[in-house]
Amino acid sequence: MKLLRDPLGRPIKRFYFKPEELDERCERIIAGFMDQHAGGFRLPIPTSDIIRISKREANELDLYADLPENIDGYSDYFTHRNPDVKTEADQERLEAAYRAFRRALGVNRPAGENEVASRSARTSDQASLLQAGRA
Amino acid sequence: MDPPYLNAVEHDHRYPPEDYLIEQMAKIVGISPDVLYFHANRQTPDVKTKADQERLEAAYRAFRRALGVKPTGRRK
Repeated sequence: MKLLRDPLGRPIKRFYFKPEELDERCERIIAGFMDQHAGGFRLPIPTSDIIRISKREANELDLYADLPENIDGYSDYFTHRNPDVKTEADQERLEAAYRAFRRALGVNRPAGENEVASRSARTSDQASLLQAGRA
Repeated sequence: MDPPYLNAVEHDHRYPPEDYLIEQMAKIVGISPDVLYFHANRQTPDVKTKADQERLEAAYRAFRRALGVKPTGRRK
């Protein structure tokens, strides 16, 4: 990590991490967290643990942010406080949540509605529709 | 439904469309209508039941657990 400096040599209030430094720091933090709270480190890291640690470490965590296409997560870092973290809840998790919700309520999805019509077919249509929506 | 309208909905400048349009959009893009209802901050029609309070609370607990989020606000 280093503090960046402006052309006159004054420190700019912005951190600079190399990717390998970020990897190393993140691994250390999440391994420590899982050792303490999740019965030890294991791979793949459960999403629930990532959410728990993000809630602990982040100043603000938005799990349902509206992010640009192909971007699953985004963080703003600050020198004076913890970062703001934004992610998009993935579709599968939402569907699983609704399944659990319906099960607990004792209702069934109406007949004829597929959970997901066709994952393979959706990509191009979805992309074009979303792109059209953003145009 | 045209691109400017979709864009406006996506950026919270317009209200999400009627339920039947949400169902149609889900079919077109090949995703579960649940996902679109969720982003529209709307309940899917099939879960609007007359469930008692305890069952509803249990359902929301299950929903949150599956999403990995904790409840906010006052709890019993």
